[in-house]
Amino acid sequence: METVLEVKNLKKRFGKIKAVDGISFEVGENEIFGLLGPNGCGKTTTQRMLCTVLDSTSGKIKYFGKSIQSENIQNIRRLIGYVPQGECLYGDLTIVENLRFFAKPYQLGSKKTELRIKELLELLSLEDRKSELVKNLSGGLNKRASIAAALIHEPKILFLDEVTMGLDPNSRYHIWNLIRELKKHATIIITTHYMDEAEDLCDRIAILSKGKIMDLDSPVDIIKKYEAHDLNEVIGKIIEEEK
Amino acid sequence: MSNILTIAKYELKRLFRDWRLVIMVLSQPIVIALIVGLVANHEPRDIKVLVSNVHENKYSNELIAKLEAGDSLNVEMTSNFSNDDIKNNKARAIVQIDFSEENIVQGSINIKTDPAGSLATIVAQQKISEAVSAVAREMAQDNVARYASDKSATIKANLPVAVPDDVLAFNIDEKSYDPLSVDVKDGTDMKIKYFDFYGSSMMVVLVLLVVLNLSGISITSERVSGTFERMTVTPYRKKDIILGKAMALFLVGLAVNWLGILSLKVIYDISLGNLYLLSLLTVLVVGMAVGLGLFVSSITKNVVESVEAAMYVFFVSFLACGLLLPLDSAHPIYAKLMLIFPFYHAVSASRHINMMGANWSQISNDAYIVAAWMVGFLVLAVISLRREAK
Repeated sequence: METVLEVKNLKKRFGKIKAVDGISFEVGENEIFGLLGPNGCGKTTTQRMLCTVLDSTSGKIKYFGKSIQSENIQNIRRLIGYVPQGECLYGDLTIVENLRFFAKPYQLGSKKTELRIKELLELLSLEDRKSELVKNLSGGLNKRASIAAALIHEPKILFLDEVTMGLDPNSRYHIWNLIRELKKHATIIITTHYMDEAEDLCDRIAILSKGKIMDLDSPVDIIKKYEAHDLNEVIGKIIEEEK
Repeated sequence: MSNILTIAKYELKRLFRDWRLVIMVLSQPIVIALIVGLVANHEPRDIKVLVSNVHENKYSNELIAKLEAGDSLNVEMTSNFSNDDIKNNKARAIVQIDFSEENIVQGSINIKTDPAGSLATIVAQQKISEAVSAVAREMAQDNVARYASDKSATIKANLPVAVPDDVLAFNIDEKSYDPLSVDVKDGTDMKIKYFDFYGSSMMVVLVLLVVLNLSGISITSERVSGTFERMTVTPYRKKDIILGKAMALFLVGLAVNWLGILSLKVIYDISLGNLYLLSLLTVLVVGMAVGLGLFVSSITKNVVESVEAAMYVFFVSFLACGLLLPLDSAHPIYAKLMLIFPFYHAVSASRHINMMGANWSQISNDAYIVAAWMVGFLVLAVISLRREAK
């Protein structure tokens, strides 16, 4: 399995606070990799550094062996699709207009863009809502539209930050199925609070606490290792150990 | 370039879908122009002036008659010559005429004016100066023979306004006894068109007000909504974002500016100079305001901060543009700053084009400075734009 992402001794400080404190891991092709941990453990900061939103304080990030510190950042961004935690589409534009807007810098050409938009609207079951303003969509539809925008250029790596947070069970179920489907085409890195989501979807997970990786393995193996019933119990035990 | 156009296109689309914002933005130039006209369209009238005529004589009566002529001044007689009447808001100016017909060179004309009277005080000073000049000329002509041997004969008039000495005083030289050459210049012959003066300035100030606010929150509102972070993960570059937004806001700013100009013209028939020059100046001023607003937006991290910063910058630029007070009255250091920054030059060029029919060579220096700042602000906006808000 080809290594898509390689992270070495990655650190991020905000003033005196160490948000991420020397983490290292690798993610392989078509893998679903989860970053888990309690609030403030550094998972979103890590993901934002990996997505080039934040600069790291030190450490290395490599995509397909190319360091983001030395490679042209625009080339790296072409590899990445990103769905941040909150809303990220223009409320005063329709779904299709948002997709066209986010497709433009990838220079796909208008024919390919329209074709891709059609595919994504089908894949995400958004065809009948495509002309609605994003601000009028429900949380679930908004999230699906955000995922469509992140997939417009067929990225090799898709980052999903708390993608099912605040969604009803039906929308969550829909997005889970979508993530499983997307795995065939891309590597997926997700951060989540929902342990059932991580257990169900992730091939491997890294559990973070206070900016450090406490454990990294498949969900099943981690549960076994901690002699727990599920990941919730694992996280609880890790937090207890930390104290 | 296509990325810039795309950002501009969707920025405009988003802006024009918010119809409440559109109404607010496009109504501002019309409403403000209307109000400016109501506030500054007329020269002040019925300005209260108290006159103390100490030795009633032919010339003092003539001076009073001249002050009473027209509807600018409302003259009332008084026996006092005291600041109290001004402090008590009873008059904008008090004139004391203190000379006798028999001995005009020993007397004086003294004037006190209300420093808080703004334009009313200026007009009062002007009218009093005009009247005094005219009477002084007449007195000189009538009496030159009488004082031909007295080289130092002078009518003293202590005016608080800066006018050439020879407007208000005359010296009689025996050599010039014949002809009666008394050189009394009329220092107040230039009639200021007050509405053109303020209206031309408002063309610039309006753009600053509307465009600074609009562009000042342009990036921060996207930071808050999350779209900015999303955009920075795509290959859109910083310059694409700034120039795309600048292009859209520039078009809105132009619309605002021309709506303002048209309103001033249609409603109040303001004087407009060369329209090509005015258009060029409009382009530069709007571009400068957009650049400044985007710079503000790129260095602030939330909407409240941006609004505060935009208003802060607007107020500083408003004070530095020369709308309220001329460069001449500024502290020397501040006057130098006014000349460095573009606001004063923008207002000055606008006034020169509209009020004096200036041509390109007469406003080119001002235009170059505004253009340089337009480019400078845009470059600063690109440089200071950070992906992260912290």
